[in-house]
Amino acid sequence: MKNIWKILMTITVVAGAALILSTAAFAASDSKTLTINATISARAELVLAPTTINFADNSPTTVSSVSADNPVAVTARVRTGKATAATLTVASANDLTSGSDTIPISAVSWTASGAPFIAGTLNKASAQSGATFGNGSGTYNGTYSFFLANNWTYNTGSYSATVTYTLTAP
Amino acid sequence: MIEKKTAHLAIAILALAVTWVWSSPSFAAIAFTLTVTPSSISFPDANPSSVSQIPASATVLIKVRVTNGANQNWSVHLLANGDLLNSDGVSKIPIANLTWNATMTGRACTNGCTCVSGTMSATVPQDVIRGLGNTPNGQFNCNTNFLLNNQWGYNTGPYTQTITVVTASP
Repeated sequence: MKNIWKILMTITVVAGAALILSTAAFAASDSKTLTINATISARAELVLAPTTINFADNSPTTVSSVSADNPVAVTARVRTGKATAATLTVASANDLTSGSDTIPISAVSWTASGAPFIAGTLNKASAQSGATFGNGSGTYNGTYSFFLANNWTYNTGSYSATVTYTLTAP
Repeated sequence: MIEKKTAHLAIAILALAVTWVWSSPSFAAIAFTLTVTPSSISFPDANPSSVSQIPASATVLIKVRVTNGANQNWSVHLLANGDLLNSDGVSKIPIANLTWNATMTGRACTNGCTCVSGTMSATVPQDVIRGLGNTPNGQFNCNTNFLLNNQWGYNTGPYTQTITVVTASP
């Protein structure tokens, strides 16, 4: 009788173990991990429209500051770091020229609307800042309005100069 | 006499254990085998002005094998563990900017398996595969092409996040 009891208890233990093992073998779900990586690099994109402006002739007596024919819309798109800021500079290497005649480029100034764009005056000796960006990335829209200081001393002619805008994302 | 009672008790325990094993829901539970290849994907840098959605470096193949699934609805879903995090510890790309297009590949599933396209979430699991019952041809495969919405507002740096791919049945 003792042998029978031992056999039955052994079977009971085996059945219990089978229960545990069967539960473990039939998992009700499965899962995996997928890792996502992305790289964002510094870049900058500047759009000016139009890219040519004109100042009409006016009497210096009545119009001391001549407005350009059109404002210039500016869009600056910047990707930079959380703790770094983009820069926008305005460089004018030469004065307004007409043959051998010149009008100092510093006679051209501008106002700005829309943050972070700022007003200024062109300078042949050093590039000027066209905006004061905060840190981080973003897209910025604004407008520049240009003015030419009018003076009786300017010789007649058709004057022109090229100004270079440089947007930099560190 | 005592030994006889003990034997009866052992038999009762054995019967109970055997009944439990065979009637246990866990014994007959729907079972899944899930494979996700590769386990990591990456998105290269791209100009947001020309590339509005960046394709991932590789197509993710999700395979699922379902057994013991007679007449049971099941799904494979994706759940992000958060937004894409920049190494600067602060900048994030919202995980909702990650989408996928899923298409069936390999043998068709004859009982309603479908690959599901969607948008990633960190709060609500999103189905990528749905089915009913066992996968008749051994397994069901979906090619999953991930896309990252590209925006100028992202700060520079490497970003990473993990996605849990998990099977589920109600």
